[in-house]
Amino acid sequence: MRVRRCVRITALLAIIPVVLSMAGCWSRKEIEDIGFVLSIGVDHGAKEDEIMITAHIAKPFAISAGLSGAVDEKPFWQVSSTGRTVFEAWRNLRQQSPRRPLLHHSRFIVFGEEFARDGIHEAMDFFFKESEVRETNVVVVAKGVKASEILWNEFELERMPAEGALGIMKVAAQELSTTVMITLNEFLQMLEAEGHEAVASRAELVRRPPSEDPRGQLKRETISISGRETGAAAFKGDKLVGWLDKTQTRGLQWVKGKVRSGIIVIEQPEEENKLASIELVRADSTVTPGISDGRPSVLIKVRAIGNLGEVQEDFDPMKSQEAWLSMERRMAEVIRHEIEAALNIAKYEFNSDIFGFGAEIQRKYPKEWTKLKDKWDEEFPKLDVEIEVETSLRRSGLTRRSVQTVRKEEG
Amino acid sequence: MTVLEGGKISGRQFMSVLVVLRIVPLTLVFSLINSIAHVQDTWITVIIGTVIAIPIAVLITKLSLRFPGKTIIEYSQSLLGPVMGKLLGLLILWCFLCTSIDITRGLGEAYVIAIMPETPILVFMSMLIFISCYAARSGLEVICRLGEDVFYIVVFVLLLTYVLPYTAMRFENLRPILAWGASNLVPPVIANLGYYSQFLIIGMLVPYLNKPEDATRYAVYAVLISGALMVLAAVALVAVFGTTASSWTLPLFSLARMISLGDFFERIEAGVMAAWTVSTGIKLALFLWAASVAVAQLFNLKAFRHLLYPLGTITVAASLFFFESMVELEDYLAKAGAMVSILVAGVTLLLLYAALGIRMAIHRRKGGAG
Amino acid sequence: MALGMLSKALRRLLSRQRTDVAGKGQCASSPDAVLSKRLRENEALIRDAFGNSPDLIVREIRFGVSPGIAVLVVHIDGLVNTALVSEGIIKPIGIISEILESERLPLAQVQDMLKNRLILLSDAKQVSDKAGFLNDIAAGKCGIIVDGSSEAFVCDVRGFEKRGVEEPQSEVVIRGSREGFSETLRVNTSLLRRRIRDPRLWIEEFTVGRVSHTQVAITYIKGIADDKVVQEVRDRITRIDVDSIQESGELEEYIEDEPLSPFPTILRTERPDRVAGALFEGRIAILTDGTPFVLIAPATFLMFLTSPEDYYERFFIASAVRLLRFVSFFIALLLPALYVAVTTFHQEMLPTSLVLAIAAQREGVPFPAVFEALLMEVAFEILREAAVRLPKIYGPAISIVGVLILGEAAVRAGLVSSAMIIVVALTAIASFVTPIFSLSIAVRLLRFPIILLAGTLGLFGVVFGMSGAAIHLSSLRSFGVPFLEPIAPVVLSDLKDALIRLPWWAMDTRPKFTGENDPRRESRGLMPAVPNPQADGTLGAKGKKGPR
Repeated sequence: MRVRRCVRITALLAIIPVVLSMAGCWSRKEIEDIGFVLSIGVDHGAKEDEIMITAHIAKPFAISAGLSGAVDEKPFWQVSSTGRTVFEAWRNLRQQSPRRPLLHHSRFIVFGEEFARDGIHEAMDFFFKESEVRETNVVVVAKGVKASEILWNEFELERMPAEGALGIMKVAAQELSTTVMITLNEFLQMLEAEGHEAVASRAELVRRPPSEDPRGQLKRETISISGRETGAAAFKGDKLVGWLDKTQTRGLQWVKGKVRSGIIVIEQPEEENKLASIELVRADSTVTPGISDGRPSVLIKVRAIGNLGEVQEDFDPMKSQEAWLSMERRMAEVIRHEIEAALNIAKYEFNSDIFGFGAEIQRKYPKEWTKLKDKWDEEFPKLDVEIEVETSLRRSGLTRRSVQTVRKEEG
Repeated sequence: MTVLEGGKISGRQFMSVLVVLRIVPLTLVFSLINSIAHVQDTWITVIIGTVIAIPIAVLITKLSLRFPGKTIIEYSQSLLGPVMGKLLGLLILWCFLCTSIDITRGLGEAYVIAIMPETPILVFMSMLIFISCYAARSGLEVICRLGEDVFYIVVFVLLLTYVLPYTAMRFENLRPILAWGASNLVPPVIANLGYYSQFLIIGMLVPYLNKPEDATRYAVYAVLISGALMVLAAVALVAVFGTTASSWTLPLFSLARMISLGDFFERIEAGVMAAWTVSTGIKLALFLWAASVAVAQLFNLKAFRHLLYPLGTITVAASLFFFESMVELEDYLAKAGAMVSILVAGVTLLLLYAALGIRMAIHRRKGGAG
Repeated sequence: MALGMLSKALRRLLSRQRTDVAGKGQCASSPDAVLSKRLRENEALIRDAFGNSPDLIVREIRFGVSPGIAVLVVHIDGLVNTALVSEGIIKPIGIISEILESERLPLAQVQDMLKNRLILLSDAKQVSDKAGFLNDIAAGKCGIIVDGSSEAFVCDVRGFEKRGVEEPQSEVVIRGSREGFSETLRVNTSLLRRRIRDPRLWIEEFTVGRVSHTQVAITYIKGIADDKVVQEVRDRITRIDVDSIQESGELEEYIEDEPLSPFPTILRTERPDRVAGALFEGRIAILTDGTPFVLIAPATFLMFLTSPEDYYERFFIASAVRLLRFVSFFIALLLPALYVAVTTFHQEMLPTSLVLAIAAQREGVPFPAVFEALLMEVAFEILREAAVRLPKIYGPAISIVGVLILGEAAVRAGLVSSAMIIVVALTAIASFVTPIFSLSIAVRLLRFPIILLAGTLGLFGVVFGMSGAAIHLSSLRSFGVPFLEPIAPVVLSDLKDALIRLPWWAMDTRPKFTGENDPRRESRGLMPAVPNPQADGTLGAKGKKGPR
């Protein structure tokens, strides 16, 4: 009995090497044999009906060399390939890459403007079916250029362009609220939802004047995405219909309740041509749909809380309560203008419900929505939108009053 | 009762393995959300399913308590007579084997789809079966001891998976509620009950409880806990994925992929998958154990342990050949499989209770006459 | 030569001795087995049995009126305390002979005199059984044979070189007692007696080993330990039939529940405080003569991860340290396997910057990560073994060569990546955290198959290996107690002293499986409370009223 058990256990132990020897070619991929794709771009190919994939692949050896400062080599490699479908193009990439490209660590999915205008539907499914692609990728549309071109940019503070672009986007979304950061998951939900059109992040190239390289070895043109200019790309269905600038983007974000922080510049009360800036601390919004006599309407309520960040002319809130209140009113006015700007362009220029008003109506009035659904394109521009903005100014920084300079204008 | 299995399990262990065996399919293919047309109502259907499942669990448990020390295979023979009883026993055995086959294939598919696409599915399935057979050989006590620990681990992992993607959650996705009428609710309730009818295994476990009088209480707890976990799953999934929730092959796996906290605590889905693998192993071990004990009792064998590896081999082969593709597996799980399980459970309970009623009536008449 | 003869004689003897053991030391009645009445025959027997070994001392004294009755004093040199022999045996016989010069005494009276008045030793008994007598001599007792009688006296005058009570080498604590067991059984039992001064500390002795006659003692606290378990231990020890037991590790292999397991199911320790603690939990200690390592059974898995110090330190700290030890147990077991699995299968699990850093380091490493890990682990095991075996003077040299030069050069040469060096080093350090060596060595062994599985199937392989280990561990029992208790099965009342340790006043019950006889170990409500300031004479009141 004992001996038999011994034999059995030895047999079990023998299974392990057998399994190991079988495993030669399966899922094992040594880490140094992988090309880690950091962002991926989709464009039309040169031929008709072809799709071009551009991958931005990290070069690990160049990164570590860069750390010790020995080699001045670009830490990434950009490569494109074409195919009739995205998957085919993606797989064709392996003809050019000695290391197996892997999408696990990709951060961005970039569509060229031309491709986006023609409709992205045919390209989307790959990114959901493929288990390598994470749903937290950011969807970006390149304004005016191909995706392959926009990937060619560099940042001074980051060696990897993807890291740089992500950093700028995060900062812009959190500190300025003038850009949208749409993950693949959100993008898909917007594409699929009734009464909600999609938006995506917008990126464009800003050419900077060529600068002398400090090491004097080569002259380079530094190209960069400018965070300031980043707004949003608006879709209708799966087609790109236009761009939102930063004011309109913040208008959109107000409605969606996604404004985190930002600076609101208002005219300073009681002073001519002088400005004051207010730093937003917190904001939220509610969208309440209503239906009367079959006509839908929407009430947007925005609450914003800010701190007085600076004024250009003497100002002491202790002296004038009225001025403080009027600042709050002006702040509300600016917010209302931004929302209206976004509403106007969405309603009259794009005719695209990027705010998701239709989805809100569906949530509250599912029965009525079935009737509205088919004619939402006509209804949306005619939609009554009421905007209520409630603002409050809380603090004024470390000083109560502003800096006062003694001026001797009259001499 | 032939002493096939000498182990004794506690009420808490009993409850734990029941919860584990109910939430294993949830962790792999959440067919409730895959079978519903409008996902917003999923959590309501889960509640309905749970409410219906409570009496089912209670009925099975109460029946088993009437025959202390006997498994459902044994007392169905003493209730229905040897021929009918054996036929019913075979039906139950077939159910156990089907469940083993489903979950083996399910886990293999999940690995091949989500984590290691290049590895043959047979490797995952056979290794899973191997380890489950090893656990089952060690006896019911070992399965249930580990089952209790796995229960805690899985509940912990599931709660993390529900809570941590909170940055991506939008609870307005849950509205509107009940806007599509009752027909929307029926398929997921059926799918849910299909899984709950696996609770037939209670009939195999009750004789081994050290305090059988607690069985009913713990069976109800098991239904409630698994129901609560599923409600939370439905809410979390719809909140994160909105209407796209029903499109994912492995919804909870995708949910775990959404976890991203501060650019550091992310990419943990393979770890989550590991917890699910362990729970699947426990469920499989339990069903293989039940199947082999059932075989031994049907054919009056003296031992059941040597039946395990042959049964396991059959399970691997069957799970490889029963289903052509993942699509077929999902379709079967959500529709035919669920209906069949409900039917089997229903027929079993109906037959046994009817026989019990008749016996009692005869007994009473005899007693009255005498 | 002498040794060979000795062993031959003993073997001849022991072929009889075996039946003896079975008969529990009862005198065999056959004439062949008892001592002869003639002194010369007995002397010849003894000299023959020991092969006339030079350390066998046979001294003949005459008793009473010349020629007197011859008395033979037999002992083995080096095993007895010679001063005691001369003071306690030879001297009294000599004195009495002078006094009784004139009288001629009958044999019976001589014997009575010897037994009751002359032998001034605490432990003396009469034997007539030949083999028993010889064994006692071999064990270091002094034998006295009187001419004309087949009854001999055996007195305990054992005294030999022994190591004193020193600080234990393998289980070091910062706070706690510094004494450790030594090689002598009697010293060890005395150490226990000094900690548990109660007659309920019961000690039972067995002789194990046909040739070695090793003394084995089981101790337990009567009334706390389960009698069935005590009987089980007794049964398992008495069924051992081998020629020698040199160390408790040998004994362990004969009495453990699951012989085919890499995990020890009996705890071994050098610390009396640890043994005493286990006795109070209803466990049983098995002491073996000749080794400082004492076995404790039934043992549970978590006992291997605790140190006696846990019970002396403040409980918050002790709990944190215990959790840390638990974590390092898993690091020691899993870290290289997880590293291999993650870098060769699940690169998606690492943050991007880390994945790129590791990829850069592995650039140019010729081996796959699995092989790299196995190579480094084997190299480390060699280093560790070398460091243990080497004389202490060479230790630092080995560590310099091994760790600094070898590691650094391997990375420079591109043979291994520096990430792997970090992983292996951390694993090595973590494996030293486990307080009981027998567990940490089991973990070292298990690490290799798990690395192989990880290199084959990634995390699935690791889960597979770990599940296998978990199933194996939870099917283990140690003298009827589930080995993984209180984790599997979960025993809520025992979790107080598992992954964390509650304060002493909260650990009021003994472990469920071993302490059922007498479950409560302290009275309720022992949590210290601030004394009521109103009450007189308490510390709190004094503190306040002090200045007046």
